[in-house]
Amino acid sequence: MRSRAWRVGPLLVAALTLGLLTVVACGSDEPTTTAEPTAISEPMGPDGQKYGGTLRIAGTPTHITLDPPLLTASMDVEIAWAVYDGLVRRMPDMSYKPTLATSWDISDDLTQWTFQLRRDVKFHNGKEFKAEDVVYNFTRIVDPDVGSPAADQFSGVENIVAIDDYTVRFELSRPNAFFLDALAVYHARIIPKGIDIETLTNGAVGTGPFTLEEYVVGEFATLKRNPNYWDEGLPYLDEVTFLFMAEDASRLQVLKAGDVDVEYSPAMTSINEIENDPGIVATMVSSASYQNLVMNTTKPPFDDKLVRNAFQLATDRELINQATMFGYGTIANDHAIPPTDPLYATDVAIPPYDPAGARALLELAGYMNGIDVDLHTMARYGLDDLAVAFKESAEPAGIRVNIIRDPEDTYWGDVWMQYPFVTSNWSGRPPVVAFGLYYKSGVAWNESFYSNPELDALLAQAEGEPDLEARKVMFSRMQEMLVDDAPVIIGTFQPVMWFNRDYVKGIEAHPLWMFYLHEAWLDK
Amino acid sequence: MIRYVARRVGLITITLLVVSLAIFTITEVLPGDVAQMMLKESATPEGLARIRKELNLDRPAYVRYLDWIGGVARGDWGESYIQKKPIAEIMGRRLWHSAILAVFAFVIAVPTAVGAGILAGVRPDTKVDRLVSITSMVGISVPEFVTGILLILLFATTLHILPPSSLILPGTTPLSRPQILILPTLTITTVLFAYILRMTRASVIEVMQTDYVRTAILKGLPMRLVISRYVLRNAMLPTITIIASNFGWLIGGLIIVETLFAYHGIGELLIWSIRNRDIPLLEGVVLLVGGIYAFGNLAADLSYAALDPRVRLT
Repeated sequence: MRSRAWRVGPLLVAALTLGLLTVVACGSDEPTTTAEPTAISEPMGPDGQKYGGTLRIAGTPTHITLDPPLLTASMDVEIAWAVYDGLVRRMPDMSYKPTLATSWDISDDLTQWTFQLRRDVKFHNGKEFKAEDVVYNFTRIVDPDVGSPAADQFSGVENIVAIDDYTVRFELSRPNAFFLDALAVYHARIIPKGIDIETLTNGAVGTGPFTLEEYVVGEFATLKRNPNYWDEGLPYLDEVTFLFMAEDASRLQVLKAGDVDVEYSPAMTSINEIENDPGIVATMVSSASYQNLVMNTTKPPFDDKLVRNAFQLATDRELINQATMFGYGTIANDHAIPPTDPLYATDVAIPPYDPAGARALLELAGYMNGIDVDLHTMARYGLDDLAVAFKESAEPAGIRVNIIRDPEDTYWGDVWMQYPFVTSNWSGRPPVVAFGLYYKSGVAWNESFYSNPELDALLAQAEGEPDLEARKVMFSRMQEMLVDDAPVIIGTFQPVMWFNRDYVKGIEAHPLWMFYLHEAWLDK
Repeated sequence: MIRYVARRVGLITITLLVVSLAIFTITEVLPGDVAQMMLKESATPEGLARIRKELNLDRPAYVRYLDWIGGVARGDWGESYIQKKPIAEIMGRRLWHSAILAVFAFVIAVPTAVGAGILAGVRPDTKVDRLVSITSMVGISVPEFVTGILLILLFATTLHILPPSSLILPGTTPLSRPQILILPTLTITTVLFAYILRMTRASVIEVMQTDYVRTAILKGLPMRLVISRYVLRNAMLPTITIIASNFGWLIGGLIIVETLFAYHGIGELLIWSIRNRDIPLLEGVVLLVGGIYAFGNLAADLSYAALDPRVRLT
C-alpha cells in the first residue's frame, strides 16, 4: 500500500515552524536590549556625568508598604531612598550630608539638637517643606498606634519644637552623641503633613530626586526625575524602573541578556555566574551585615558560660567564610562591630579555632562525652549553609549538631527567640544602634536574652560621650565582655553586593546598605 | 440540554462552595498569622495589634467566612491586604494575561501535537513513529522548570534571539510584545504535546483499521483525502476531550511556568499571595482557579456532545 501520509505531517510541522519563525522575526525587530540615547544637548555633571536615560533594576517582589516609619520589605526600602529625603544623608564614607537640614547646632550636653531647615523645597504634591512637617513626622514615628520598629531609636526625644518655619529643635531626655545616625535611617524619611496615610501603602509623596509615577504591586515601579529637586543638577537619570521578579535565576538571566541594568540582592552563589561576563560588575563593599548563631543564655545548656565558650572555640571562621561567602566575607569577632568601623577593638582577640580546647571546656562543664544539640535554621539568606559549616567545624570538638530546617515564612515568629540554638541574620547598623538593639537587657530584639548590667551602663554612658577616644575605650570594654560571654557567634560579616552593567555609574556600595540613586548615571 | 447544563452548574456551585470552605479553613489554621508574617522581625506588639484591628481578625471564623462568601456571590471579592485594591480588579488583569498565554499555547501546541499524532498514527511502528513518541515522552518526563531553564539558556542567554523573561513591561501588554510568550509556550507545549499526541495517535490507528477507511484507500482515494475526510474527524473526538480537560490547567494552573518566566498571570499571582501571606487574595485566587477548572470541564463535556451525535447528555 502506497501511503502518501508522509506529506501531511511534515507539511503541518513546516507550517507551524514558519509561523513561529515569523513571530520571532517580527519580535526580533525590537532588540532585547533597549539602549537609551543620552541627550546630547544637556550639560554634563561636574565629573563628566551624562544626563538622561532609564535605569532598570531587578529586585524581589515582596511588598508591604511605602510608609516610611513602617518600611520593612527590601525593595520598598530601595524605592523609599529614591523618593523621600531625610534631614541628613549618611554617605558611604560615613559622613553626614545635609539634606533637608542645612546645618545643625548641638548643645554641649548633647541633649538639644537644633536644625536649620532648607528653604524652597517642595514635596511632590506641591506643599512646601516646613518645620511643621518635621514635627509631624517625628511625632508619628514614636506613636504606638503607628507601631514603627524605629520608635525605640527616637524614644529619647522628649520634645520637638518648631522654633519658626525653618528651624526645629529636638530636646532629648538623655544625651545622645549619635542622634544623627538615627535621623539618617530609612524609617526617618519625611512625608508631608496632612497627607492621606492610606495612599502611602502603594504610593509615595516625598521631596526626593524621583517621583513615584506608577506602582503595580508585585510587578513594577516607575520613578521619574523630579524636575524641582532642591539639589540643582541632580538627579542625572530621567527614569528609574524597578522590575520585580521572584526567582533569583530569572533576575540573573535578565541582567545577562541586557534587559535590566542592575540586579539587586543576588544570591552569593551567583558570583560564579557573572565572573566570566565582561559587561557585568559585582559591586561589593564590606558591611556590618552578618549571619550568626544565637545561644539562649537563659536556657540549658547555654546558660553555662563554659559551654558557650566551648562552642566559640569550635567555630572555624575561615570555613564559614568559604562556605557562606565564598571567601568574600570579613572575619568577625562575635559582636556586631566590623573591623572596618573605627570603634572596632583591635586589642580584643578573636577566639581561635581550637577543637581540643573546646572539648576540654565541655569536660569542665560536665560533658564528658561531648554534647548533642539541635540547631534550628531555614533555607533562606544562606542560613542553612552557615548551619552546615558550623556542624562540620564543631564535630572534632565532640559537639554533635542536629540541624532542623524550619519553614521560612514562619521562622521569625515561631523559631527565632523560641529555641535555645538558632541561626539569625542582621543588616548593618552603626555600633550604638546595634548594641542597643541586640545586647541591652530586656529589649525586644535581644535574641540571646543576654543581660549584663555593666554593659547596659557603659552603653548608656557611651551614647552621651562626645569624645571619640573616650567612646572607643567604652566600646572596647563592651566588646571584650561580649567576646568573653559569647551570647552569639558571628563568623563573618557579609559584603553588600549587587550586580550591575559596567556602564552604570554613580551608585556607590554603602557599608550600611543605603542605596542612593541621586548621583547615578549611565555611561553610554 | 438546558436541564443538563443547569444541573451541572448547580453541582459546580456546590463544588466551589466546598473549595471555598476548604481554603478558608486551611488559611485560618495555617501556622503563624498574617500580622506576624507581614512584619517578620520588625513585628512589635503595637504593630501586630494595629493590623489585627484594621483587618477585623477578632471576629469569629464563621462570621468572617460568611461575610467573604456572601460578598463573592454579590461580585465583591474583597480587598487585598497588601495591595489595597479590589481583588476582582487584580485578578481580572492577571486572568487576561493568563488567557492570552493559554490561547497562544493552545494555538501552537494543538496543531503540532495533532499533526504529529496523525503522522505517527498512519505509519505506526516506523522510525518516524518511534522518534515522535520518544520525543514526546522526554518532553513530558522532564519537569517544566528544567525545560524552561534549558530553553532560556539556549534561546536567550546563548543565542540572544528571545527574551529571557516574560516580564510585561510597564505600559505594554503581552500582545504588544508577543515574543515574550514564545518560551513559556514552548515549555508548556513540551508537556501538553505528549498527552495530545498519544491520544491522537491511538485513535488514528484505530480509525485506520475500520472498514470504511480501508474501503476508501482500496478505492484509490488519495491518502490526503482519506485523512482529511474520514480519519481526522473521527480520531479527533477523544483528542478534544483531552484538550478541553487541560483547558483549566492552561489558564489557571501554569504556576511554575509563570513564576519561572516572571509572567504576571494568575498562577504567578497565586505564588505571590502565598509568599506575602495576602490571605484574602489567596482565597480569591484559589476559588477563581477552582472555578476555571470546573467550568473548563463543563465546556469539555459540552463540546464532546456537540461533536459526537451519538453522545447524549443526561
